[in-house]
Amino acid sequence: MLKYIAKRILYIIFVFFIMSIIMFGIFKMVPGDPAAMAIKDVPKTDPVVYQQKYDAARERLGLDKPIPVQYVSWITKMLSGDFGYSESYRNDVINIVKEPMGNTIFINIFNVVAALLITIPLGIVQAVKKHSKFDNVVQVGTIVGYSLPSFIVSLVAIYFFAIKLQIFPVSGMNTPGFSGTGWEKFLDKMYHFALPLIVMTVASLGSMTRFVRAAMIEALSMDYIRTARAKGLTEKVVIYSHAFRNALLPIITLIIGWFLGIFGGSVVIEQIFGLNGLGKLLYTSLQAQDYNVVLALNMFYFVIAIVGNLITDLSYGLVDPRVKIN
Amino acid sequence: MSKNSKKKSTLSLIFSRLLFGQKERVETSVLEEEQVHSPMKTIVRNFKNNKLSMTGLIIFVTMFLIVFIGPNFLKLDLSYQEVTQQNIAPTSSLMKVPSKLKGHVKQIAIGSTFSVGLSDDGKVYTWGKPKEKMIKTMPSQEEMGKVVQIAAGLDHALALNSEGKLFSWGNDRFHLGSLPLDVQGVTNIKQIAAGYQFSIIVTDDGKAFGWGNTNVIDFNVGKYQGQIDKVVVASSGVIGLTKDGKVISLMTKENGYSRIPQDLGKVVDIASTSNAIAAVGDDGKVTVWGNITKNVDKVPQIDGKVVSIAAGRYHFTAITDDGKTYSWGANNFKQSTVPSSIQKADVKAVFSGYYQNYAITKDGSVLTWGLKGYVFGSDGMGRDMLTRLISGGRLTMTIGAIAVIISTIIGVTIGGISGYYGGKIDMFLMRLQEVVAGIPFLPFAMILSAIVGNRISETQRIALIMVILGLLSWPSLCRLVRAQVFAEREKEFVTAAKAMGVKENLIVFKHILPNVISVIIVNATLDFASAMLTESTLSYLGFGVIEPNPTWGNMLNGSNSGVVIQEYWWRWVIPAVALGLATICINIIGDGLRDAIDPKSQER
Amino acid sequence: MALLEINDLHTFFETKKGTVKAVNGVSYSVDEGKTLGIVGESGSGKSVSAMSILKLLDGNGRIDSGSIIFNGRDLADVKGNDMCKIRGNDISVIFQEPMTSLNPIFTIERQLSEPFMVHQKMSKKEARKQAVEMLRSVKIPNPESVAKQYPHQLSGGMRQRVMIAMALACQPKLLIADEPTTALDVTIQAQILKLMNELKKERGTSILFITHDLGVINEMADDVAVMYCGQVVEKAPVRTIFGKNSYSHPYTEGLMFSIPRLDTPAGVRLEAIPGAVPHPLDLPKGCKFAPRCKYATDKCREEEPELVSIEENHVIRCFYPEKGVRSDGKK
Repeated sequence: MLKYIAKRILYIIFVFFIMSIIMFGIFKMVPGDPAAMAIKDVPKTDPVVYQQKYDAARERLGLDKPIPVQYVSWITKMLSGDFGYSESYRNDVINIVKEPMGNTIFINIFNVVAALLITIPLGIVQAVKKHSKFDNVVQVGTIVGYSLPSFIVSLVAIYFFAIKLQIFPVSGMNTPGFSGTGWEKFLDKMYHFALPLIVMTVASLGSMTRFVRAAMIEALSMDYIRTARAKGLTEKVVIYSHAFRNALLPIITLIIGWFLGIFGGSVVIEQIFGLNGLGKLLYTSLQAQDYNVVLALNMFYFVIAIVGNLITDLSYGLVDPRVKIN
Repeated sequence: MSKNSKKKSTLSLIFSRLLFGQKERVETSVLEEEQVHSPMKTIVRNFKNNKLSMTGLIIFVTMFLIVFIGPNFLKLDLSYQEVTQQNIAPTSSLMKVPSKLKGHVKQIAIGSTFSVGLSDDGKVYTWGKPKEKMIKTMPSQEEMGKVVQIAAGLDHALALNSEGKLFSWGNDRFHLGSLPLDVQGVTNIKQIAAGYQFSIIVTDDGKAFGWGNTNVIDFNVGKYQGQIDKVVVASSGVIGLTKDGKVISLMTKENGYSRIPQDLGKVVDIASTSNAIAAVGDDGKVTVWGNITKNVDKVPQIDGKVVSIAAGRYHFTAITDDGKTYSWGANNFKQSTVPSSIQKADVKAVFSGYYQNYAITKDGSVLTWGLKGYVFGSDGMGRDMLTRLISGGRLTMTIGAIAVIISTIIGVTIGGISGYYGGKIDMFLMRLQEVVAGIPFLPFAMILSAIVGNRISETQRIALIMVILGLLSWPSLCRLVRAQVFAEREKEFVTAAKAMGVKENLIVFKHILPNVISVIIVNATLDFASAMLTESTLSYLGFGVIEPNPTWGNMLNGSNSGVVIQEYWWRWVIPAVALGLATICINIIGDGLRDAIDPKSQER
Repeated sequence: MALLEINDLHTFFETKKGTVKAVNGVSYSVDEGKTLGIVGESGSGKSVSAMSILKLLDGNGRIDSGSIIFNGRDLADVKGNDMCKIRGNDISVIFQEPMTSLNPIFTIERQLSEPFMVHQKMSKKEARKQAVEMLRSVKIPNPESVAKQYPHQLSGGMRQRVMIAMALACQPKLLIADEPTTALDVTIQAQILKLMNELKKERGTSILFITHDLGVINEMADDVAVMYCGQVVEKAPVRTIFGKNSYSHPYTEGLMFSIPRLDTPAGVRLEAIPGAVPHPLDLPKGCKFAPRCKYATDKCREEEPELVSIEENHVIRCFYPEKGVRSDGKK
């Protein structure tokens, strides 16, 4: 197990290395000359002086060094949390991302937990009652579910729940001019979060339910399930202990990819519902061409991806004895 | 051992028999049937038996044909915009004259999205798609009494009753809705005219009064006050006809309209499109001037003498003394193609406006040609949704297909190499695959598209989207192919090929790939749907294909506000339904294919 | 007295294309302390008839009619949780695939202690102790450490021993062995069969032994039932079946000739039964074996024969049982 963990961590470092190179590539692709930007106040009237200042700026920014050296200094800065200054927000990037990050993490974690609480029992019931009417109906429902992009689900939800029935607000984070105690403020925020959370959860049910069903059917068709039944175990024990524990293995592998997809996909939801999350921040920063913020967000998404991978690996090791022992 | 494996194959045979049975071929035995049908045929048959998948396939193929053949008929003009046609709900009844009006039409006035009709007994009717405000503010028939003349502008209308009283309803920006003081007292009105946010009246004694958006139209009668017989309103100018048949400019400033040709002679009728004026001389000759666009000056060969002329937004319609009708100018809605039935008929009068024409024959019936409406409505720029939907579908499907081809090529190559060679190559490629799979797709695609896409042309941008989608979505196929190749390369035919000295890469691509092709096809189908979804999401957010190129995703882009979602439902429901239906069908087909190829999965 | 008596059992599977009559009127019985061997090709219904006893049928299978009298109780009427009390307690099963019949994510100890906890209400600790004892009794070396291991760490033979230990945990009266040795190497096969015979003698367990291997039957069984297309075609004591100069069903005869025997004279070719098992949805009219039978007459193709008693304890489903008489392995 220890060896396994060590191996995975080494691998994570490798992944991080590759991803950081990709990020550095993006960083280099950003339009504009940083050195010229740094000396934009210097008048160009005297070309010689300008050139001198320009060269000095290049040296100061390390742009005259070879690419690998630039990469090292860049990654050191990134790792120490220095993401630079945001032109559009007139603040350090690190200060801008804090609040949206909290919101994004909250809605995504909530979404994943809620979706799992629905999809796992649903998939299990479907697998147990395979080919029943219930199963067939849910199967068609899930195909529709994973075929529809979340923005369409959002539009439909806004139309019915926010405009026609007026149960939820159309968008925003809180009621304008709202004042109240901390608890009331929280309730107001949750009231605004409710519809996007419902939409996100509903939109992410389809693929996961299908997967849980397939994994459960696979597990239930195994010989050891017959053995378990032959031992005289009740159907409940057979399904939830013997079959589900096995179905969990493929589910765990999938969850992380799914989780990453949702994290990325929350850009859409945040944008549509006007939630102050990282996705919306990314959207507005890209529109404002505020690339320092964009890079910091990119870093965040990569870290999420890496942490996600690590969690999968570790939980896989915990659940599957074949990994645990060998 | 061999006994055992033989037993298994019989078992699986029986298993597949149990699943599929043999409705039509009860007489053939299991083994015979197995020999008769190639795997491909079995797959096709299994697929055909699946009703849901077949339905999906039929719907998808229909959609596919429509979006790939349709643009040849419904040509998309990328630069086309039309302010007067914004946000019209789906309809095909813009020219549907109410039955009560038929037979005794006195006059028809045409507005941007509606028509107003006046009957011989002085009743006013409205049809088409008038704005809600128009209906709300329209005076009741009792209030108006017997109406003798009507006029319609962009989004307002005027009516004059037999007592000489004037009514105005609809849009009341620029005080259009309320009559100015100097007009209120006038009782001897002879003509009323309405244009693009402008109203004009002409009195018996040759005076003209105008009100409305004076920023655009600097109405100024000047020295001609008292001589005016008729006025016409273009989008940014007013032209008058004096009682002695002279065409005059009723504006302060000089512009295209006011450069009136000198050799008109005595003019009997004038008409104006949005940008051009036409005058008919007493010799029946038509002269066109102004800002000439869309062939409005291409007057056809006219047999006979033109006696009156009418104009739409970009076309003219004239009738001759022997009741013949001619139209020319823009023809995007067939508004200047006079149907043969009308060419033959004896036309008494023609009313034209915007994109519609109504011809009244001498026996009183109403014939129409021009824009009937928009089947799927029009969008916020006045463009036909159907045209954009079809062209957008083509772009969406093309991007999806090419992205899938890219990802399939990469996935199959890397998966094949990885699975076949194994060892360190496999190790490296798999790690690479995991890294790519770990990249958060949407944000990353947005960043790439924003940073790279800023510096390239629109066509390159579309290509960029395809490449981004393709480059980021190969890992899942790669894993599947690798696993399959891994299993296949252990099989005997590969060993045999190796023993015969067939080159290694040849073995992968010639001997193993045909055996994993089913996995590839199924995966490519399912990936096609997700590529379409991702492209739509990117375009919806504004980081994919951008206007004026339509895709199903960016057609939804404008519908991000409560107003659009509520008021202009067709602008988001229709593209959403098209996209949803296409992806649902593709996914159903993919599922059906998987079941057909691997019967065991049907159990799942 | 018979411990288990199956009478006219019909077990059907509903499929999209029709009802598959996997077991179509089967009767056999297992006496106390004896072993009944059931032989037949794949799809003959031998496993299904045995699985019907414990209702371990796949989702679309059901017992249509017939009775399964076990210890004076008709198991065909037993439902749900009551059946769970019988499974693994009074009747237990050993399956064919030891590689896949154990749950890969649980330790041997945990899987083996389950029957004790379920049926004998032992505590976890007691059950685990008993599990180690069971491992010892099936002659697994180092039972304490094996108990802590996972199935993937054990060899096929070891796993089958674990399966046997699990099956015998609660001292069942009847053990159903569904091709327990088919997936094993020949040497391991012999060890497992020996172990089963020893345990049978030790504990007096009755065994219902299902196999397609006549050689194994000869070693294990007291009585034999031969099945074909969901029916019993011949039933006799093992000595009668393997004895020379005895009446036999043509199918049994075919099976006999298709296996090599020590006493088969050199140069004599092994005869395979021509043709294949008919499709379960497309069974022939008349005798099910007629299309493959070298003695078949028009009568066989039209009418279905009944089981006929030839001698004491020997029944054959054939119109012409005398045709299948063997003499010295030659015709």
